[in-house]
Amino acid sequence: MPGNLREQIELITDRYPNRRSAIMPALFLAQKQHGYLSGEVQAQVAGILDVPEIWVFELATFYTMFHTEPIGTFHIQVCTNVSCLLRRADNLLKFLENRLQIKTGETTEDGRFSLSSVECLGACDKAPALMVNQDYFENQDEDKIDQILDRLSAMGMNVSRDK
Amino acid sequence: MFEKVLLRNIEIPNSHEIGVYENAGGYKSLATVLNNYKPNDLIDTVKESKLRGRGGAGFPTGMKWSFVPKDTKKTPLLCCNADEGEPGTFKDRALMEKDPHMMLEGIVIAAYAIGAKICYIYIRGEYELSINRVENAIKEAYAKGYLGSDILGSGFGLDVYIHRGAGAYICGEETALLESIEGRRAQPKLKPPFPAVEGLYGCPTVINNVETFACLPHIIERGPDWFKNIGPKESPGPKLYCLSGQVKRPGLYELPMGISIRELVENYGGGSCSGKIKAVIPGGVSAPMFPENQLDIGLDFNSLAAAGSMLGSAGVIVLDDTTCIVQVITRITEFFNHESCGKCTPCREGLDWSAKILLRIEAGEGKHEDLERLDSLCNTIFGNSFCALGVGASWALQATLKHFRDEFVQHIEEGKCPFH
Amino acid sequence: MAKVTIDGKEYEVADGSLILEAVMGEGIHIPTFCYQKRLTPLASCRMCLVEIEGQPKLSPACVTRVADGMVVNTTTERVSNTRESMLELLLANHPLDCPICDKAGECELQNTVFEYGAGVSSFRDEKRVFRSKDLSLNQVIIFNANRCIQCQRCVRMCEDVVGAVALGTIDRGMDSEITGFENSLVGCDHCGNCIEVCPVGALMSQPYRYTARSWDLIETDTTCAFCGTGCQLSVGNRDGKLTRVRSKYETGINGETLCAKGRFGADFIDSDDRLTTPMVRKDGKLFPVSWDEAMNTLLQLIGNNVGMGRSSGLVSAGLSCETLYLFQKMMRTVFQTNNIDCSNRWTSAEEDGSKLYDVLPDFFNSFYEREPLESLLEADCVLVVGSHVTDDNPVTDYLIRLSQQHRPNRLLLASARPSRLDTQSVASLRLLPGREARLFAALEASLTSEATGKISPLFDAFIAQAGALLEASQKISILIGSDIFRSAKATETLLWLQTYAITLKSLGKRVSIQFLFDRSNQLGAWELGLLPNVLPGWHHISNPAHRTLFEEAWNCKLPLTEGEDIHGILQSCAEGDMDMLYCLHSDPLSFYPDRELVEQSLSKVKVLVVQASHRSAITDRADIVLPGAGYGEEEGTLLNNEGRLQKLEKFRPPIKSARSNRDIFQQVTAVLGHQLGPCDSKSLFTELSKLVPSFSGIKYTDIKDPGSLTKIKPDVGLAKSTLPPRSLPKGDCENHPTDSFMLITGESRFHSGGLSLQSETLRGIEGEAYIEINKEVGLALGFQESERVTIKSNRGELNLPIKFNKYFDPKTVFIPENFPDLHLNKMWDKGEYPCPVNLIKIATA
Ligand SMILES: Cc1cc2nc3c(=O)[nH]c(=O)nc-3n(C[C@H](O)[C@H](O)[C@H](O)COP(=O)(O)O)c2cc1C
Ligand code: SF4
Ligand code: FES
Repeated sequence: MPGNLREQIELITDRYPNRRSAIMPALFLAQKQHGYLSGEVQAQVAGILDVPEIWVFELATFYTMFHTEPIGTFHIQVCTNVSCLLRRADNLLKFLENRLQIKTGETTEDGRFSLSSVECLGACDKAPALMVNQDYFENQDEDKIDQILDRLSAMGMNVSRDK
Repeated sequence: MFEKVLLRNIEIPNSHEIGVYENAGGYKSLATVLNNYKPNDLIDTVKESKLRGRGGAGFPTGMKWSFVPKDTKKTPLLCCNADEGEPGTFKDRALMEKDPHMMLEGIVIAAYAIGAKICYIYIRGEYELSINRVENAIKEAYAKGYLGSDILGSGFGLDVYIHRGAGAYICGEETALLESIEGRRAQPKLKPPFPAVEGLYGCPTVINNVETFACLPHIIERGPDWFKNIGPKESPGPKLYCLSGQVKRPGLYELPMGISIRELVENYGGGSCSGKIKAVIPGGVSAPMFPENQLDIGLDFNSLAAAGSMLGSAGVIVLDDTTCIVQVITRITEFFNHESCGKCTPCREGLDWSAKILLRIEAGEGKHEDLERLDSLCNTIFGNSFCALGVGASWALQATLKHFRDEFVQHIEEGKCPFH
Repeated sequence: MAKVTIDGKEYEVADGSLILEAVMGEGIHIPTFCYQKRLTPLASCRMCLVEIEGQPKLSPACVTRVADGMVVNTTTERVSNTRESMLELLLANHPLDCPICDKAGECELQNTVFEYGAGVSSFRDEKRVFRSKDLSLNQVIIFNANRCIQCQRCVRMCEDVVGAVALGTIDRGMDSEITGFENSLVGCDHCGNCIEVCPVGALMSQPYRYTARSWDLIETDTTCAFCGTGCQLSVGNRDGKLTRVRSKYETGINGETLCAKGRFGADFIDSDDRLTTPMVRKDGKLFPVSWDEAMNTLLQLIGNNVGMGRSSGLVSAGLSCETLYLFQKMMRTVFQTNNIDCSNRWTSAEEDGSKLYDVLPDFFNSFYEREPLESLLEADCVLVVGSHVTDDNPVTDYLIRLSQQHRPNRLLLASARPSRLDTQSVASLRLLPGREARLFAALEASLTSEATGKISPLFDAFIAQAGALLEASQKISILIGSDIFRSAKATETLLWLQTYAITLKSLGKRVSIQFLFDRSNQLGAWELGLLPNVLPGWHHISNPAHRTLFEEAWNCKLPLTEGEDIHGILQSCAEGDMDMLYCLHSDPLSFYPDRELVEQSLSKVKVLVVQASHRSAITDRADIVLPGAGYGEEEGTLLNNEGRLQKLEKFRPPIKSARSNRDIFQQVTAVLGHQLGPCDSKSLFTELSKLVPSFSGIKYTDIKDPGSLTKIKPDVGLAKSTLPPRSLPKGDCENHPTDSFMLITGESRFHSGGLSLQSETLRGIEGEAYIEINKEVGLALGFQESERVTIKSNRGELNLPIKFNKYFDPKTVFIPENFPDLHLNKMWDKGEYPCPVNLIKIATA
């Protein structure tokens, strides 16, 4: 993405007849840049869009894909909704908790992995499914997860948060 | 074999590219429409085809379009509902990833019918690939003159933008979707006024599902009669069914409307994993499930409604006999509780209590009165919540309590889950 | 009309009315939580669900409109079971901590459960707990999320009515929580309207918290005295101590709303600076004395001078009609002087020597419209000039905002400071005080297509937009703020306003003009003759018939000559021509915009009598200090901007040795050997209503909510003058010295005059003045928010913190006038307002 946050946000505001509509896309951009949406970042977005800060706070907390607290470099999101549950996604989640030594909803101490249980990812025919950041991993089992984690662990700490 | 229409391109390599789409005859319907149809004729044609919305409610598409006032000073807007959040559903994702132009062509056709100059496609945030593919498709379409200020030299213009969702199932509800685009908390809005009269930014707005749009080019190409002769008379057309759960061959199937649940599961899905079906959810988790002995119902809007459920998003989920029904409905209720927007009392509070009680029953700590409490919670929520989320949630629970009461009782009496 | 059957009975109700409102008129009660008349409908609480025959689902009565032939049932078993279940759900997670909840006794949830609830809950799982300790959002607002029932009234109030957009809802579903950005409301308006509309004890008032149980309070309904809007409020007293102020649903012009001043400022009456005993100066120092001694001193000091016309009186325009009337009667009959004026004019004398009071009588008799603001705001175009409505008259701001909700695109704004209403207006213009005449002249010219020459691109663009809207409008309302009285061109402004109004009327348009006064009884003060040239009811001093009327009524001779206005009075004092200055709750030393002149006046005037409720700069200089009743310690009436008479009730006696203001006048008069007549408010009102034509026909005891609208009687009062042709206003609009700023002043959002600074609560919200400046300009100058900088004029300088506002005019700076200790009035050269200043960074050591 070229340009600074303000420029990026200004670009998207053209799509909408008012600036309030641009809050969601602006939060995505800000999260991409800052990793998570601290109060400061939210205030910055509000400032750029010239909207009341509370509007930004409302949206940053309404939607689950926005993080107002720091999140691990790799955000592992296991679908535990029905189709995946029927394919034992709950076991996978337990397996991940064990491997990462954290509970669902937590982040590893080194800040690399966060583990979440999420709602249906729309990959039900390839259940169980999970996402790591924006990437889908489908038809998962323990072996495959082991491989993914090994690969991710091998990556340096300087991996960007959004990929 | 039923001829694939909506999925006709998906096996072709690079099916998402405009060249592939055009080679298969893509965008011809758009040209036909712009050359030969007046907006009103177009609406009539779609009415004639008896196309009903594929997003869940099955509202007749042509009729919805005709609600847009003709004489408003405000230019109508079009929205594509690509929020696909209903558990068990993945058809829109497939269309957007594999054949985004089919949806786009449908969008331009619909925009022409209602006189919209702008369309927002609301894609759920998790669908990164869909977003990229649609974004790219939009660029390609602009370059080829299928979008822009003067489409194919007709003088008709349309701009299309993607609005990315951020993880809230309620945004699939059409008024919540509009609120979300307007940058508000996505809570359903009061109807009337209906969106077609006063929707996004106060302008008349039509919202249709991805699959609904994808049907349009084919209706133009093959005529409304072709469409309405597929499947049941009042609920016709080719349909995408999302088959998942404990079934041998889960996947996306394009079949005529009205095919029976059993046929889909047994003939196409290869039967359940264990060989014995316990229940099937026919239309995403908002749709009440059927026990094994009711699987001969046709998968179409009217048949399912008559049988006390709904086609919804056509997310067909198979539960075999190794499954704990209480666990499944607990998870479903937790889902709705998590996704309740919090606006209205019955849904916000009622689902939370329902989930708490269900969790306790599943854990073997239930009491007999709990079942009555659940019955009464369902009664309180059903029909009284502000939007259909609460209705769906309580409806699904109600049906489960009815069909599988024994299993709940067993949990309570044994003081544990008999399956775990 | 539609015929509907409700609970078996047939009614005729207005077409399209809501079921809820239709049944209310018929005495049928349907419980609600989220519904509130002024707020955008939500229909989320589902308490009001009723059965409509033919509809499978229950319908929310709060949003469903009646249709002819509709059959509605509000009491069927299904309806009452549903209500019961909704209540049970709301209670299931509710902490039920009524014994320690401030709201107990007046809680809508409690009351509704009592009336409609099942009484028992069948839920046994653990309740939702957001946090164990209440969340303090700011000095006045504290929040208990566990008690919240998500009706969203507070959020809608904050956004739709107040326009502050400070409160919101975060998270969703069961986790939805009301809060401010980062769980704080430090930057909000502190109006507390969110507290007022909260049906439960979720949003609470910090100052009131744990001070009383609602049933221990004695409530007195009265009128707010902080500005000319004239809101109704209810003062709660516990054992004689003021504990809280609240507003009442659908009561007064303000309904359930108030501003920070009204809701939290009343504690000023208990400030440490209250004057509790008379004092006299001995050997240069003030000593507490008895009332008798004070009166004897008064007699000694001024006895001989009475009747010589060398006295003068200055009053605060926040006092009641009865008190003001009696004061001018005393000044005129006992002290034989017409040197009477209100002290709150922020301008030194007029540039061209004209006198504002020369034009006021005609203006009020021929142009001022006494009309409910609500109907005034229904006009096709509302033009607001010279007011920061959001800060000066906050509740008027709410009403303007509300009026725009259903019919937008009618508002025009021209003011020195940007305000929240700008975003709602069709066009807005930054206009420095003193340039309003220009505006009216240009608007007039745009009507008659006369060329006035270009002024500036922004000005011209405004005229073009405003002119088009005004031209297309049939009914036009013009609201004029107090800012115009701060300029030395006030008279010219008013004359041009009249000229413009006449032109509009000649085109067949209906024009209503009202002022947005910053003082609660400015209209009353003028109406009652607190002016050097007119007697009560706009009767002219120099008109023999008018004078006779009063001489007979008062049974005495009246001074013949017109008096001096505040400028003349102070000037005369300074020149040694005045024997006595009587300041009634007024402090010219702090608020007259030429401090040096006041200093001189005070040093030269022989006797300074100050009657006031609070200590101030001027009481410290007085020869005699008379402690008068404060707000709520004396009853009477106030005349608000609309010309509506409203009651000012007494909710306690004057504290300690303080006395009713009118008792004091009687004593003063008596010691000087005169008589003033009865001074209780009822007799006084009867007396003055005979003399003030607009009050005639109104009985004191009949003044109840919503007050009594006074009427100008066209046949009395003054002859209408035809306006002389006006020459184009002098002075151009862009005369900024390029290297300096123009300093203006006005009311802060949290203060009113100097008195509100006596409120501990308001002082806590805003305890220090500031310099408001355009953000970008400030940053370019190297300033940071809150950094102290020096502001310097030709006369003086101050050090104050900077406050950025990105919408502020780049060449204007603002300092609130409400901080007497600041000596802001040192900054002005006589009549030089707005005043050129420079901002200088303070060098850090
Ligand atoms: C809670 C809820 C969730 C919904 N989610 C979706 C969705 O994800 N996608 C969708 O197309 N329609 C969804 N709908 C249905 C829409 O409200 C709307 O009916 C539909 O988008 C209209 O398009 P159609 O007429 O083409 O079906 C949902 C409805 C509800 C009540
Ligand atoms: S039913 Fe649920 S999702 Fe729908 S409005 Fe009510 S709280 Fe929101
Ligand atoms: S008052 Fe009607 S739903 Fe709340």
